[in-house]
Amino acid sequence: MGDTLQIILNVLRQAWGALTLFIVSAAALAMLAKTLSTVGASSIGARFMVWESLATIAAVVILVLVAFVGIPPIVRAVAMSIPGAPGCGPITELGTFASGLIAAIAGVRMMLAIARTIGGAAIGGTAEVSQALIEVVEALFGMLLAGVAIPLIAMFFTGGCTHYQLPRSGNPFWAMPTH
Amino acid sequence: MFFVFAPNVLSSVMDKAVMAGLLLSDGGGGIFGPILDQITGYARDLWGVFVGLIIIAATLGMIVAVLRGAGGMLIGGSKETTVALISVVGIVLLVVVAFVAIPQLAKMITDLKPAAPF
Repeated sequence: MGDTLQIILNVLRQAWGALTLFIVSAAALAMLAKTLSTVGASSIGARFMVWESLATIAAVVILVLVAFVGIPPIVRAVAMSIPGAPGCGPITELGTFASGLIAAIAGVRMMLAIARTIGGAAIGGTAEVSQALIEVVEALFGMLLAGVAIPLIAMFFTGGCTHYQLPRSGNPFWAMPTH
Repeated sequence: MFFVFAPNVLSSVMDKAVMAGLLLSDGGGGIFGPILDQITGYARDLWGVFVGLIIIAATLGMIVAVLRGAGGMLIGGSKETTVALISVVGIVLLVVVAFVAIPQLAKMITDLKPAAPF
């Protein structure tokens, strides 16, 4: 299970790296696209469009800073709060597997939300900062809830570590208390 | 005269921006490497398209502003002429700032790229 976890984590790390590269390219293209929009709008005298384009450029820069400076510490902090080996008995391995993956999946999901928004701006759309941040917070809360759920599930299935005993049928999900 | 050499100047700034390593792939990405190479190739092409379009839009915008200014001078409107001159200067400044600032911003963003926190 540990090897499987490491393989999946490696894939997620590569996905993280790919998303960061994509964000860099998309941010540069988005700023250039909005510069084109600004030049065109100022040529025809469309002031609202000029301000909208400049605001989108600022939004892209803000989103990139949130993604590169804000998300990694958040993922690290919440990952440390998730128990590493909750419960005991057979459920421990599953719990360790899940707790190792939660932070990685949530981190990649947050970067994906930012990358999608900046990618939309790169092809001429608007960068909706609020929508991107809502998805980031959703991923964060999902991670926190999953982190709380793992110990509860472990306790439910095992009935507490010191009182764990496999029944004669060998089914680990029906642990019986020893007293 | 200005409209003759302005596109060449802006094109050379664009070349320098691309060569500055803005969209150079470092071969990373692991299993996502081939996809990233494709996306980077398209991004490079798109960069060139956008720069070309900006040069065209800026040139047309300056011509329109000059036309407005000439029209203003024709009817004796000094305000129109002043606004036209300011528009031309504004467009040139906007484009030059964009072509210089955006690659620098992209370099700064590339330096800020974080490693995976898990």
